[in-house]
Amino acid sequence: MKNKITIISLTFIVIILIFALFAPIIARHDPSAIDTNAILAGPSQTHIFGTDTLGRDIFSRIVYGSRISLSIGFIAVGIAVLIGIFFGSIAGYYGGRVDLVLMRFVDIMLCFPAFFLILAVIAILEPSIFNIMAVIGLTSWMGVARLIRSEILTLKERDYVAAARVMGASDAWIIVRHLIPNAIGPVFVSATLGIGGAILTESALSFLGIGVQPPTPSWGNILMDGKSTLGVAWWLTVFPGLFILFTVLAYNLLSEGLRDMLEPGLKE
Amino acid sequence: MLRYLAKRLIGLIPVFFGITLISFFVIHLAPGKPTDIATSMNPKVSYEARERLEKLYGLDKPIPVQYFNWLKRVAVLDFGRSYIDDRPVSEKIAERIPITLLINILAMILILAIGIPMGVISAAKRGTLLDRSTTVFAFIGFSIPEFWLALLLMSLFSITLGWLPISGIKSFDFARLGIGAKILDIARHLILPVCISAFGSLAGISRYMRTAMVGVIHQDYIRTARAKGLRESQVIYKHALKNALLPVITILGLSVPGLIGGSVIFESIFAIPGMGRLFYESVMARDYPTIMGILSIGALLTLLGNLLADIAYSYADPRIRVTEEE
Repeated sequence: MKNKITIISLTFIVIILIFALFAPIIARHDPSAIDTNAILAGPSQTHIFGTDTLGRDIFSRIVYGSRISLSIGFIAVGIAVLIGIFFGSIAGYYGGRVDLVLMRFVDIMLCFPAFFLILAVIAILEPSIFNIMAVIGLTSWMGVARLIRSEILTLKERDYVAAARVMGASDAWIIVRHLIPNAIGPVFVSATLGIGGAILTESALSFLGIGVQPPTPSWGNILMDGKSTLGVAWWLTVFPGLFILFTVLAYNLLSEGLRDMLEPGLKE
Repeated sequence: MLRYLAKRLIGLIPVFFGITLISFFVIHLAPGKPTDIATSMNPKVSYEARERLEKLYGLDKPIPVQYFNWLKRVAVLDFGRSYIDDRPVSEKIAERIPITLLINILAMILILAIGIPMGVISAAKRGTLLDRSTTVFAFIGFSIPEFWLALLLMSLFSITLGWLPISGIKSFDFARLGIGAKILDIARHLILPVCISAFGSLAGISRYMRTAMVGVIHQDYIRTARAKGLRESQVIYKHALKNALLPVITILGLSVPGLIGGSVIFESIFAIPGMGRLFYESVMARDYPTIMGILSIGALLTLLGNLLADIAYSYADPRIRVTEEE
């Protein structure tokens, strides 16, 4: 049962990836082509998800939007993972005062109403896709740092680490070649979860009008366009929302599947 | 207990400074100045006038000096004056914060009242249809964009069915209503915002509660309690629940920043004049004093949430109190 769910999630993730990679082939319309004859047209054969206030095809915009939403998810999490591994491994390996200072810093970052900070920074710096990725990444590395630290705390006492040290390996070598590869397992679980979270944050920012700027479509700003026509054109709100929901759900379920695979002991 | 509390409180002070320090630097290091909107973009403003304005706001000094000045003023609870309307920031926040707090506290109560029983029941009845449907519910709660849910429910209950008001916190005829009708009116306006802001965390808490409970149920002392012949309800609610609550308390404390952050979104969807909405407006206008004021208050609320979680934790598990005091 659980395996089936993981496979379904994975399939869905692959489909969305194909959407993103082959957007020009899959989308039947230009995502920014304005058609004044088809303003707010409901779902039909030509426009399977209907059109928006400018007559643009919603399905094509969602397909192209998956490029933006997915790349923000992946790159933001990539940044978070790199920072988290860096701080976490240093704190875990050196311990003592270094650990104390770094973990205090993690505590501080965890106490931030992160969304407030993201909002402030992006509004002040101007909302570009790059800024959004960077800011989401910079505010979400703490979980990874804690995971890596606790793994390394136990790993560094192992014999093979002592053996490497005796053979004259430097600290950096031990951390990069021996500790991180062994500590990285749980990070995959949390990174997969993080992709879903980053997609949600991007969509919330775009929804507030300070995310990805039009005319570039992202799932969040397609939804924002739908806000004003909620009572008239439901398809503008429902379809992009469903795509966000299912994509995030798929990443969350995949993360659960990965956890079961990595820690079979937890299986009930 | 008092000593433990004092120790915790002192530990929070550096965290508070850390948060304000990072916020201040991040905001002030951004290129451009808030006075640009009034000066560089306005050809009538001379260079001297611009310098005078920057001096007035203290923006001509190095950032560390600015931060130190800000800190000195905050120590006497003065957050400065807003760049937008020159009103004291503390006054602006004070009139906006009650509604935000009300919504968040109500949401928190809802999370506790529904999330914890939900987790306990699905752990006790593992594998049943009930358990499986709460799991599905939890995963959807994790994954749903809350603003989207808000829009959908708004269009269902307020537009299609017409049961609830669309937005705001008061009806137009609010002033003419009696006391009872006034409360009812506000309640009707708050139902959707409260339920939706609770929804995401609710799913999370029920899931954590379930995991913690499942872990506890296999412990020896639970088997002992059962072997003594205690009723199942007593085993679950008295012996298991108290221990399983511990990790959940911490998670609850950590969910405060999310709730506060979410208020920006809900308040703008439902047009609620709260702190989140004020923050959005200040960010858009680069009103530094107000942004810093709200970030500090937000940090303070988060720390308060963590402190409450710590107190609850030490109450539930005396071991922590004892080891920390030593």
